[in-house]
Amino acid sequence: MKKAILALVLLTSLTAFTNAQTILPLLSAESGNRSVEQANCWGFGSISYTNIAAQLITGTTSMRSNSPTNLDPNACWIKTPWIKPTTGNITLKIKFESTSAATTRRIILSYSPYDASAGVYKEGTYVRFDSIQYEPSLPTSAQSLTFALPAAIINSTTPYKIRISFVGTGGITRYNIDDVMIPAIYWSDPSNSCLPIPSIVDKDKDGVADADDAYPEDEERAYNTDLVKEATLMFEDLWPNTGDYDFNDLVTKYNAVAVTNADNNVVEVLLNVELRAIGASFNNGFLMQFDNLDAKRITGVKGNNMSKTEWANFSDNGTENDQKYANILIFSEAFKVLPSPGGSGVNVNPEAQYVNPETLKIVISFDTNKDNTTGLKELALNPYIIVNQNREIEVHLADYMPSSKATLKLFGTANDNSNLEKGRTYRTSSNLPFALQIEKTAPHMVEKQDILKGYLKFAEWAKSNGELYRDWYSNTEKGYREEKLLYFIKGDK
Amino acid sequence: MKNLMIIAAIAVLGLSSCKKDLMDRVTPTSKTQTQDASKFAEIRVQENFDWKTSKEFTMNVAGLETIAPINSTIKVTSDDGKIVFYQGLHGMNESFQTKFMVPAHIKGIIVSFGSISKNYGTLAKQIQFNYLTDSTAE
Repeated sequence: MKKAILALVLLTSLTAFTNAQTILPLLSAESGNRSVEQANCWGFGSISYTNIAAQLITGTTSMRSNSPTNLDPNACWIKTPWIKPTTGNITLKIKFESTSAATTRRIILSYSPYDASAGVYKEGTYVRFDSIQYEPSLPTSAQSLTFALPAAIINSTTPYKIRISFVGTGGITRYNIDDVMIPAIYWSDPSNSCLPIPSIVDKDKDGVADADDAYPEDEERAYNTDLVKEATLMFEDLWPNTGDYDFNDLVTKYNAVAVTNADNNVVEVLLNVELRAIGASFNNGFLMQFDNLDAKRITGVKGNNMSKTEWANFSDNGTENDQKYANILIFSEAFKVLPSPGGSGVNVNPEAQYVNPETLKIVISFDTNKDNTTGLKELALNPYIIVNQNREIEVHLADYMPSSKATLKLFGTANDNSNLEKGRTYRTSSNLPFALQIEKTAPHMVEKQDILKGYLKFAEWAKSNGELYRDWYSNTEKGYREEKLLYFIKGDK
Repeated sequence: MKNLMIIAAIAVLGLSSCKKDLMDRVTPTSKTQTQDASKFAEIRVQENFDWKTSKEFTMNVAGLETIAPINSTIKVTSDDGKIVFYQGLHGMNESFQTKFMVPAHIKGIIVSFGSISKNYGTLAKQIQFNYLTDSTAE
């Protein structure tokens, strides 16, 4: 059944590319905006749209030529999109703005075959096939003109363009034009520089061209989107008390990629979480909440590290039970993931033994069945730690909401100045946070070094309300960092 | 004598255990904002200051009535193409809205639909994308 639905979707979505039986519609200019027709691959050379009553032929908008100065058909024209002409006649309506002020006026019709070797527009040499000439006294009331399509281009497998030129000599009298009708099948692709509709290669037949498909042989997957390309998370873990602000009690780097299918529904979220440093004696856990997302949308979780789960229990789909929103355990004990080599902490003291960071590759699978799907804009990541195996104590980024498991008793106590009703969380009365997320791979502070000592532009960024030094965490300019106070994981810059 | 006491105090601090406990708490300071805060605890920021180093963008796509159904991939990337903020298969006639997070260090965003491509700055948090372009004008 699913495949049948997919086939139906495929048939619909690829109509333009495979069957292409759409008839070229009348060019009436009634959109009132020439750009709309241009976006649909019509071409205009010195032809404008007009809504001046005296220049109208039908409706509220017509087309208007420039004042012709010569008989060159390249001077002023309307070109069709790429089309495959069928049987019938070309028809259009014209009039002139004056009976005189002209020596000659001539309408010339030409066609061009598609030529893959011919420049940007791939137009082959234009072949003139009909024309009509006017001399004063010119008609100022609408004339319906009819031209036969040449037999050579009717029902051909080659796409063509028809060019209708409005030229002349002497005087300034212009053409008004409307209701251009050409019997043809539309064969242009506005998403491909208006070139003829190409043959799309789509091996898995999911509707996404292989050139765009990250999984060209997997009909269930199509795209990878970076929810978080790379980020460094730095936590203080004494909440609701403030700490020493070295922001290294738990340091992780992570990235998150959403895999979506051809229906733009999330199939998986791939989380790579690298535990880099532990500057604490507390054995903290790390979780990810998907804000506002029902856990029922998730069908499975793989790759997390559940070394100790007495304080939590999980559903069959891997999400934590008794939570309002989906909560995923990344690891339950930091020291089980990144054991201490001895002494205090891990990777926070340059004199101590270096420990290679440990990366967890977590796959969170989503339901793609109808009525339980998830779109990209529904994914809002809310990473947090639980402190020293106490499930009720969580530390989140500023203004991120705690999970249902967090005790509310601690909010507003000690140094915390949260107001949950107003969405203010994990801030001190000075509005300072208890955790930071930097959208880059960034070195963390050496133990007990205040973060301002290492990141020299951080204070100015914060005090300027984020206007100055938006890249305060970077090393792109001299004077941004005091590197001897920063701890670099091997490979970092 | 005073200097000796200061040196002694620094030495004691330096030799103390690195182990963190509640003794590490920093008492909230009442110091007013200074231009040269040397400690994080001394920073004063606006009440609603957003500590994130990324911001949420909203993109509105205005569909265009097309002669034939045209489906292709809308792709939103950083100006260097290294970060993909959004990708999806859409009809050219489809209007929709989506949201995504953009790191603060990103200076430009590119929205593309096949050969149609437009550039946007990152000062605003809104992107209005449509398919009208001068690229087809001749």
